[in-house]
Amino acid sequence: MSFRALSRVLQVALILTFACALGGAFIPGVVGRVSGTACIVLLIAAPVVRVGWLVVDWTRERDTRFALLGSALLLVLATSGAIALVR
Amino acid sequence: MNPVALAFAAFVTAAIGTLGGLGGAILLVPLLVLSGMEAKYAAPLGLVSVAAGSLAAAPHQLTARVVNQRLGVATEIAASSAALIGALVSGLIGQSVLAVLLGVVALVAAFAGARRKGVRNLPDSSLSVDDVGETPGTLAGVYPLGDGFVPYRANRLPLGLLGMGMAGLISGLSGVGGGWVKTPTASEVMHVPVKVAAATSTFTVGVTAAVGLLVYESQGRIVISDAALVAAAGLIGGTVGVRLQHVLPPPLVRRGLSAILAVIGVLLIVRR
Repeated sequence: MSFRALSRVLQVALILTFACALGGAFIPGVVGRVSGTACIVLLIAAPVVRVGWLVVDWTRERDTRFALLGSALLLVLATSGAIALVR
Repeated sequence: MNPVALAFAAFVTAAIGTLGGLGGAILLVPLLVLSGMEAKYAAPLGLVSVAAGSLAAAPHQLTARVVNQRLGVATEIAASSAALIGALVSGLIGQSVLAVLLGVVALVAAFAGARRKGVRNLPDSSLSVDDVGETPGTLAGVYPLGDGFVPYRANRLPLGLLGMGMAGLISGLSGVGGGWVKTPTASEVMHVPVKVAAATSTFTVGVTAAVGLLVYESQGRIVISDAALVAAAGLIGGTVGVRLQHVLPPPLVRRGLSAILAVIGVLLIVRR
């Protein structure tokens, strides 16, 4: 089942993020800073990957309406990110 | 705030935020500001807490099949678009006006949740564990409650989208996240069971927080060591919160949510 695979992927992301967060909080210097930044990147990427995964899943299931809605959400997220970076 | 107190605050607010589908920022940001932290540094930590709680809850909520991702994606388009507009015009509205607006919304949501008695959606004996999950192509589904299985369908979509848009607008304007508006909107306006509403909001606030964090990172407003500490504590708090969400009965979750919203509403209006 696809939701179980997505759950496993997010479980791995959770463990990785936690490890990076601990590194960022407790390791001094450059290593800690890189680890902390990786934690933030993972926190940003996880929900975007999840929506992307759902779009692929719904496309395979021929649930076209929700696949399009998911794509529209990814477009809104991309636009928001682009505007944020430009400003 | 010292690191131990910061970690404890992040743990507690992420647990409560995930339990009620509020997102922890609405609780953590006022706490950090009260402790003397500048709001411009407190807001990013609030969103880190929200994102951490959302990620921590995701595997468990997916396995329990209590989150409705179709509902989340459909409503998040309105919320994210409005959040973008809110962020762009955030400088045009005074903080005092915004605080009163937030406070009134929180009190209305608290009242709506507290006045309802019992459970709106009842178990259907003809359903089995195989029916649990979302119904493809619709905003309906079945979720497990105790030994039974409860069917539900999201109603009043246009009104719900308006509420989610308002949640996004508030989130964009204030930077505190919109879960505390999204969960009552899904539950009280769209008639989605509170556990499904809370789980779905926990999913969507993670999406909104991702955009906010991107903005704050580009502005150099994230203090990495503090953010990492909040993330670690928030991941643990989110894991605890989602397990409590699965165990506690819906009326208790709804009343607790109403009480928290009432306190937030009063604090926002009094402290403006």
